[in-house]
Amino acid sequence: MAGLQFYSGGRLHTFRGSTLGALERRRASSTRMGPMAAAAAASVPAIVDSFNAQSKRMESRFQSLHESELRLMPTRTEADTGLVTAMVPTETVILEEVARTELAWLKSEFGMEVVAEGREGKVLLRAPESGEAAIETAFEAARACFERGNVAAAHPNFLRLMRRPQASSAGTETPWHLDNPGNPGVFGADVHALAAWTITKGDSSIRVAILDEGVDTEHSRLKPAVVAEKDFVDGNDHARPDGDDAHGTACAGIVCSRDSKVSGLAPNVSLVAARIAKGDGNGFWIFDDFETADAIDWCWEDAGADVLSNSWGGGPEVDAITRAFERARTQGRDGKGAVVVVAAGNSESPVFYPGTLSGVLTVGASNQWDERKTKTSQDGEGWWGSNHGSSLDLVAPGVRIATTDIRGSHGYSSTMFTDTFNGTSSATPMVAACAALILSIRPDLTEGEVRDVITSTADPLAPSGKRNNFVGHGRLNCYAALRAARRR
Amino acid sequence: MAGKQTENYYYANGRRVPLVRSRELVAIEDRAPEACGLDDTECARLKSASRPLRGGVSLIEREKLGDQLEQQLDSRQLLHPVFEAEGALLVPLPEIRIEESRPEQCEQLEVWLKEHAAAAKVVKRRPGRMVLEPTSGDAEAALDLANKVHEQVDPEMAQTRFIRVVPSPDTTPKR
Repeated sequence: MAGLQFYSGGRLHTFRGSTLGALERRRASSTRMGPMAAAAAASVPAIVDSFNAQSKRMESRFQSLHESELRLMPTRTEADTGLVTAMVPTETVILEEVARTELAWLKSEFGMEVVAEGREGKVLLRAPESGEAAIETAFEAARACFERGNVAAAHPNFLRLMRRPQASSAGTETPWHLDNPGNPGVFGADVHALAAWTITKGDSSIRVAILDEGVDTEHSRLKPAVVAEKDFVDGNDHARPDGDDAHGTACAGIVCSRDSKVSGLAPNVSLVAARIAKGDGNGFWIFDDFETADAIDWCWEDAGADVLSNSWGGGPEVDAITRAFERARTQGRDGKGAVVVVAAGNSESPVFYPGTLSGVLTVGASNQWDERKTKTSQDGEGWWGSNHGSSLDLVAPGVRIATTDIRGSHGYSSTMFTDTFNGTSSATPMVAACAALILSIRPDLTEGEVRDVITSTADPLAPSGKRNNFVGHGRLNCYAALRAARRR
Repeated sequence: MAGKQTENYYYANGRRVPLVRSRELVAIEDRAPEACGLDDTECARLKSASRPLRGGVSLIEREKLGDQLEQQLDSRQLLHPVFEAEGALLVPLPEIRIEESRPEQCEQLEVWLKEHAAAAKVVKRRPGRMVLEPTSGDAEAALDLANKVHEQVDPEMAQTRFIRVVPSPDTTPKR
């Protein structure tokens, strides 16, 4: 079968296929092989199974080939996964824009029969023989037909064996909040993560606490980061959530997901999980103010958290919680203070407590267009808007954020990831992650200095270029913050 | 309990936070139906009509109780008031937490506690902190005691324990 040739793109190509048996023999005898041939040989059993399954499904178009007759041309490999794509020739030919007279000629010269008609003038023909002879006839007929010049295209029909795309990640591109290509939105309306990561991806000695309705600490992309967890709701020996309580797991992933595609902003820092609330199944969260205060104290005092991320709030101020935050800010990190980050709230109304407290970083949400998130902003999520007020410090991306989801089918998606998480709840851990990156390179800074670095380097969004009550100092720019921290 | 009309408030950051008593809702202790000797059918009805909170209490609509049962439960201190404030529901529990680190104020606090020993007992002490309970076991008594401590001794903190119910911050649709 040596010397099979076919036209593609107007040029003549040679099909350099090998039988599976030949590949297997070369591998077994340690004959010098190229990396693609070696990968193909290693994949022989899977390829045979795949081809036979395909032949059975489409037996009206393809004959079954015996393994010894199967030819394979490896075309692409990856170092860690082996064979990715291989071309397998068949006894069929694809023609485009072919006249009846040409079909008659192919029938009389090569015995080619039409087996299927596709859209836009595509026709599939099959050679009459079986096995290798049929493949050789198909190549010969296609070449001859193309050279006669009466068709738009004529080439053998290949089966392509490709590795199924891995389903472990939510997307194939960097999430927009980390690197926004402007589709949709505005190029660069992101936290500048890729540039920030040229400085640091975080240090494991820095700990970020997520105070929320629980974190799935057994999630494979979070578990390696977990250094402490405590349940202040039910007293369990872990901080994992109940039922479909997925909010805290999504917040944690924004900080430190260790997935290669759905990465946290600070993937190398450590995670502390404190479960302080639970959903009531009717759209409400239930807190015990004393337990919440105890959880805050536990985070900075016992778990050694450097940053406390709080995507919750609402209701009137209480001293127990206020004073616990104050202790975290003044006594945490051996007196340098833990950084407290709090969500502004999602009702497009004045900022909620505890975001109203002074000395905390209060975070609103922006969208892919670098707009303040409102019920009428361009993103189309008309059911929520970012809160506003004099205590708002800055905004960060908060629409369709890709992050970790609770395992199982109860969360935001049916996979381990979601790309629809939203709210000032998602913007808050982004700022917390930025604070953790700053402390990774400058652990000597006080919490006040960290807050100052973050707010002073935000990209202004207000028309005046100055702080206002709707976008604060602007949108988080993690790269600028790290550069400023380094120079400080 | 429905007839109590006193002004309700607590202190935060040195300022009074007004509380509006809910007309429709009341908090019921989870052990209440059995403690009152209600039959199995009535216990099941009350449980299905209530929304569990934390701290062993649930929310229930007052009309689901009826006047007679409400009085019966209230007389046994198995009901707690529900207050509304700034978009949240607050349910006080019979517990007060006090924080005070200044020696002079600590002495004043000890004097106050002796004078009010009939109304409040110390159930936990740590340096700079203590937990009180009203001897009556009544949540509203705890609210009053916390306010009195605040107004008469002015410690760094004197606060009743609240269960807080707020709208979920989760705006992401679930499957």
